[in-house]
Amino acid sequence: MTHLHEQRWSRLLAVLVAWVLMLPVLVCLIPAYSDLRLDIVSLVVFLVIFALILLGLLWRGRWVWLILLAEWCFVPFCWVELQNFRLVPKAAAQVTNTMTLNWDSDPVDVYCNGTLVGRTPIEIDLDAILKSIPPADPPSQKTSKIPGWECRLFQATENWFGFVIPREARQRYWWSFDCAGHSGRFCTPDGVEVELYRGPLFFSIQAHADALVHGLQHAGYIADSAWVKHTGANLTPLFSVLNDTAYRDLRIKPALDQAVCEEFGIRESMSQDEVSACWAAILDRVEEKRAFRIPSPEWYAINLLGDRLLPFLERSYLEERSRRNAPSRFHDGVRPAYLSPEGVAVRFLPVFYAVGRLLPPALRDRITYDAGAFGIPFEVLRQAYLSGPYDRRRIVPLARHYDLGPPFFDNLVNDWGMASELPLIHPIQGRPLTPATAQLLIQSVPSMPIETVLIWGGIGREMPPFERLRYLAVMRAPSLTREFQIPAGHLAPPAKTGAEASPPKFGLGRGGNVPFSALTEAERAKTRRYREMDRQQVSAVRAASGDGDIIALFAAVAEYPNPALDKPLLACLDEARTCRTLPPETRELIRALIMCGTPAAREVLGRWWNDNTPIYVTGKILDETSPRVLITDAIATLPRMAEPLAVWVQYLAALDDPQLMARAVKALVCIHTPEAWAVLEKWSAGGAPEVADAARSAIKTERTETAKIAALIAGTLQPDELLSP
Amino acid sequence: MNARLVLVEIRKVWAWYLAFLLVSVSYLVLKPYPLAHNDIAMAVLAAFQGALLGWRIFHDPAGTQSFLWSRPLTRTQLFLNRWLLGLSLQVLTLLVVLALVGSGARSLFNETLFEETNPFYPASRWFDLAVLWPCAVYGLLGYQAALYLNAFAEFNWRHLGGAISGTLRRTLLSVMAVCFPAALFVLADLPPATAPRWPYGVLVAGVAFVTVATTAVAVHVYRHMEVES
Repeated sequence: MTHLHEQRWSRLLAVLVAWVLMLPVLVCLIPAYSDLRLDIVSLVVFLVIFALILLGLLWRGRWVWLILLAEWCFVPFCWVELQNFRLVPKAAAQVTNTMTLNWDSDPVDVYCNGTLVGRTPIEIDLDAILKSIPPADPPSQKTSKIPGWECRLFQATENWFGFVIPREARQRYWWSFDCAGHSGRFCTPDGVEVELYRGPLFFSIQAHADALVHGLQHAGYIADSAWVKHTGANLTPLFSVLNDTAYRDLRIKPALDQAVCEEFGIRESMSQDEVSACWAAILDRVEEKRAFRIPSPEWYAINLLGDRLLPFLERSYLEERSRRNAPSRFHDGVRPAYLSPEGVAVRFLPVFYAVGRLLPPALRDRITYDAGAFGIPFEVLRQAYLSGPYDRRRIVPLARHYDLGPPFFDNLVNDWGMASELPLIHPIQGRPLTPATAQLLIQSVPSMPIETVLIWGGIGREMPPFERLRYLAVMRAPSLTREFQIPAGHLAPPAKTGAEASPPKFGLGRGGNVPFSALTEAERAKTRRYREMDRQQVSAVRAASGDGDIIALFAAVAEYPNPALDKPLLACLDEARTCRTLPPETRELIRALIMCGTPAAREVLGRWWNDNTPIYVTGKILDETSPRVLITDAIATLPRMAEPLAVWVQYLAALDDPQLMARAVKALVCIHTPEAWAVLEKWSAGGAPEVADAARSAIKTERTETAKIAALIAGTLQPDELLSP
Repeated sequence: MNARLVLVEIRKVWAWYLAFLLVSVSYLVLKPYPLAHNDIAMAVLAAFQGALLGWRIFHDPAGTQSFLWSRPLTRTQLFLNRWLLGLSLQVLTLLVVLALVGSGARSLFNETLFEETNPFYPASRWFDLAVLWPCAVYGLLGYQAALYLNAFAEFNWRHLGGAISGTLRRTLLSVMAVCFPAALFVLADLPPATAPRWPYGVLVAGVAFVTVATTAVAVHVYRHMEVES
């Protein structure tokens, strides 16, 4: 018998190899079960302890060593729990009371007692803040009043963050917020209940954007370099408002384009390197802001770059798709909070969006594969699904596979903020649908992007009003019948032939709606055609829910004017005029007709303008007994769109009744064309005193506004000062 | 290689190998999703197949060891013949996978069998080759682990006597057997191949080191172990 057991080096070697065999477990468990960076010191400590236990087990085999070994193996699984102890750099303060500040107006600088705490989105540890920042008295307890609101500095209340906090913290810690030079205030209608989670309101942002738009209108929608530079520099806080305005008034869009191009260095002709640098800058900005929102300047810049991004998307996609969330670290009780909706890195979101929007052919197979193998690019799928240029044979089963039914659309609208591009029609609640309104809805179906029509059917499918809308949509586009589950009785059941006898196979998971799955090639072509049309003109009808839905429907048509809708609108007007009293929605109906601006609408309204028949509004006879008042008031509440309104300047200028002229001053200010101002100048020079006063006041206000805007652009006036009376 | 010895070893292992190959091929063909570099099921199958190969090839049933060790082969030759046979079978598995995916058979199966529900093919056909990665790495790891554990068990069983009791030794082997698949699962959770490279560097270096170290230890054990008479 040999005595190999005496060859200790062999056993040592064996122990060493056993340890090495365990190495992959250790190396891989730690990064996999933790979102923290690997700390080399703690890792070495862990491995040394593990090796010692293993050595003890192999050298002197006892149960206790085995138990120790087994227990120690669980340590990596508890890594996240251990992160607050020794395995990562210790936090400056023990984190106990945390709250994520993440508002729509991000990024917002958050100050506590005048000390910058961080920029949203952040996670604040209240205890650490209280320890590191000394208490102080607020500079002012004054409550500032803005029409409809009472605003004040935010002070910690008793239940701030959901924690009971010290009394001192309530009284001597005050918070202020700044969004790129626009200060935020906590406002409530009554000034009583102030809650942090609602976030501060930045009234000066709206005022700032309104002033810039006003200045642009004053300059005939031609932006000078100062306007472009100023807007570009303030693009982040102002963009949302400006984009919304540009959506309604297309003449603002070129100026907004210029501002975004100025900010991102986008030019008409760019070399590949310049586009690459611009794309990198967009991604960096998104990463810096830790958010990618639609709409946002970055989103707009991506759309402006358009196809020029195609050569870079594949590489960006491959680079970004595998990145994990950035590690989080506490610094003095404040750490950045993630904004990524599905756990992917924030930088990936614009890449997702751009890929989904541009759909580079080189990535088609890759996206399909990734969806199946990793499930990552749902957002891309959503975009691809709606855009449709990818092969529907692939996309639809994918969407069905992942059950991207109605939630798919909900997510699209909510996560991606696409509501402005995909307006929804809400049900007409509380009152029967008149034939004329029904006709309006039916007429609006073909003038909308097919996505919008499909979304009608995709949302709220259990609610009877939506069933009606779906029915209407299907009436107009019979080929869509298969898209929706039409309840019995709404449509005659189709004749069952042999081929159709089997149940349809286009159910999308539990939702049962399969938009696009049953579209024919012709319908897809139609979809593309609609998309080619100016979506901001054709995706027209948006209404709010509530009792005044019909009013809101007409208001939406006025807000998003659609010449194609004039006939149903005129039918609605005829219907209203035959009533004993005019229904309350008449004014909105007139606004919608004026904004349509078609010859037929002008003719009917013009005829009505000169009609002396007394009219009644909701049972009350008008003092002036004339529809002119109704029309003049309607114009005075319209957005400033010169083209459809220019013709009304002639009508208003020809007025001779002083009472009506005084009302018309407001309408002329609203029209805001040189002709309208010329009429006002004329009225201010002479005529009835009340008319002249009103005209002079309007002109003076306009001049003050213009001076303010010039000072704002020159930088001598701060945005917050716009709010001061 | 010694053909007769290889034949003897193949007789020990072929049924198990083919059974596992059939399982792997069935999985490969019938899985209705694209195969990825971190395909856990494939990794586990490959690891088990490797472990099975290692165990079946290097473990001698009672009574056969003295016969084999008395043949005119050095112990190193004996070991290398067995080791290379195991590696060859692993490579054969890889070739089968490569043929199934590369020839489009898997894509065709999926298109035919799951026409209504499977949208991934043929778009994902070539991406499926990523499954060769877990197949190769985890198969090799399983094989080497089994090789090492078997050699270590033989070594202790014969010569350490009461230093480690039989129960404890078996428990230790069980722990190792549990930990290794766990490591495979975790490795399978690594990010895609375009992620930062260091995990893959660590993995490749670790696998290479484990392979060399376990082989060296096993050779050493083979050269010094006592054979039953």
